[in-house]
Amino acid sequence: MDFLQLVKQRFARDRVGLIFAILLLAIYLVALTAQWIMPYDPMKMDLRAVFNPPTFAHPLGTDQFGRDVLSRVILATQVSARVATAAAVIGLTIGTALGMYVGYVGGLAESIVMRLTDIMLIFPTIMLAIVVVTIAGPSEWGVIIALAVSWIPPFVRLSRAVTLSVREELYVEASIAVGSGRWQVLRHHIWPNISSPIIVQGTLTLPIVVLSASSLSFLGLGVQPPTPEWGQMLNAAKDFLRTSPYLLIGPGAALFIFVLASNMVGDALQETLNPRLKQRK
Amino acid sequence: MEHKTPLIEVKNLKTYFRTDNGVCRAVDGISFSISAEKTLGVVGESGCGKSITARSIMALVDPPGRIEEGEILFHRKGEVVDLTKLDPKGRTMRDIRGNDIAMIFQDPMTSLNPVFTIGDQIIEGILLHRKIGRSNARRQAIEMLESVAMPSPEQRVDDYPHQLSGGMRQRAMIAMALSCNPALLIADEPTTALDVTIQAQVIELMRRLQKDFKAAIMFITHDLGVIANIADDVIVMYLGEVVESGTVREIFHNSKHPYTQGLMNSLPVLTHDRGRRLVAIEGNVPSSFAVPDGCRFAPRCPHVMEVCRQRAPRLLDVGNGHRAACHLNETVALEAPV
Repeated sequence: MDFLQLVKQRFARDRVGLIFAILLLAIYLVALTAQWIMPYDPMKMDLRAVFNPPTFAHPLGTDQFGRDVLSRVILATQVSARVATAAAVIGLTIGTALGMYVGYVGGLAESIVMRLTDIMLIFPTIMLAIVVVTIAGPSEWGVIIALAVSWIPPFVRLSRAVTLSVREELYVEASIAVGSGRWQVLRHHIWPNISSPIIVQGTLTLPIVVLSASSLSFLGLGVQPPTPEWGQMLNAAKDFLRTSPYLLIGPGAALFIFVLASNMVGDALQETLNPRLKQRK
Repeated sequence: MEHKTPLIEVKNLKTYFRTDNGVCRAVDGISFSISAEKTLGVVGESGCGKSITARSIMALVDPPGRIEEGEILFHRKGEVVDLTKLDPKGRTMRDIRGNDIAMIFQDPMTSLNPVFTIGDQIIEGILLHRKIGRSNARRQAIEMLESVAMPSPEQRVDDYPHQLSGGMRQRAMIAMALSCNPALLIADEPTTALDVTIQAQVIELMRRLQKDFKAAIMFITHDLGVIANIADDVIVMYLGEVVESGTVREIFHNSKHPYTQGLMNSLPVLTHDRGRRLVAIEGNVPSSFAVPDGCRFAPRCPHVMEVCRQRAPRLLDVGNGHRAACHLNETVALEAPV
């Protein structure tokens, strides 16, 4: 597949898309190298230096325990990116696999899975996540599982819908006619032809998952202190909004940039992949 | 027609579609056989059950369609397998598909996967049935493309379907179908979607390949000209039944069924007087949900008799291995045996 080539072409022409793609990559780079680029230990308290406004030594100031906010934002980026990406990837993988399978085989399996999906879709995603996180317990893995579970149904629906149309294509039948089994057809013919909308949907889901993860942490149901996480840092900072508003800048900006960048990249991908494989060569 | 050991025998095959609107008797008790290395032409109008017959052989009939009755006996490595008894998704059926029986579809535009090169798709079939490595399979794919007269096969093997013309795609499909050297090739209107010059090339190619690969062909079409060109034997289908069968010579020069005669008369003939109008068969094919009683062709038949509306004619031998299902022949046979 010339998927990568196509994406490269697209971003070469689309300056705005390129900038946001670079931003998104930069955020992931920060997340990956957090351990080495943090200027201070994000957990180290210094009660002589609480609520310091931004200075050269502490560009984002210090919080109520005298911890360096920049270091905490950097570590929070790692935690948030990890949680959101893991949740989105798990939800996408399970949802897509399930949707493709039942879309292809149909019958009773399809009815059961789709009705369950409908039931889950009744609840707003965040409500569902709250229920699951209550069961799984408030922790990083709790949030990942909760968000992954709540994002399975939309991916089941999407992948089933596209599978239904691809399943009827003659090349699927032609492949069965040369002796392909179910697995071969799914892997070789269905997946490559439905992957574009799934990948786009995955990219567009990422910002929503980040927001949901932050919401859960904001409510105290997510990543537990002292581990920093964007939503949880915002939650802590809101108590000092009147006296130290600068505490909100770091986590707020990081969250904002991540959501915006992944949305823009998702949109760009969608535009690239929608007229499917049309402009190749 | 001389009878060698048949490769495949279809006996009283009935494929019905049970829908909410009633039962559609798409294929209703047809029998025929194909000998090794021979070509059987299957002709008939749209909706007469040609394609469903082919799909029944490949066990590709989707629900609500089902083979209700009959046998499809396939002679394979000295054994006889009844294809209707096999699990359509089972191991044996999958081994047979592609390896022993291959199929070419009508529309080469849609029967190739747009996201893979044609080489990938030929290799897929080879790897499913042969225990060889990918690079060997690729070499074989290039050889196949060469044998279907694809220009510069080494480059074309890496082309995507949209980079090929219709004729080249159909050649690629034929290469894909023949890559495992099947004993029977089912061609479901392989030339219908192509323009006339390409049609002639593809038919010429199939005739040559049949000799090279020693395959039997079941050639489905509604184009009588194509049949005359390629077939050894012909069956004419109407509303899910075989109305006439015989050698291509018998069917074309000595047709014994008013439907076949009607089809022949509707062909333009170059040597005829100018200004002669083509004769069309009256009316339309009735719905296969509501099959007429008696002879199914009776409502449209120019020679219809009282008996036709009451009793269905049997498929009777009228000499030279030629069989036709028409009451006219029964009376003719009584009065003046051929």
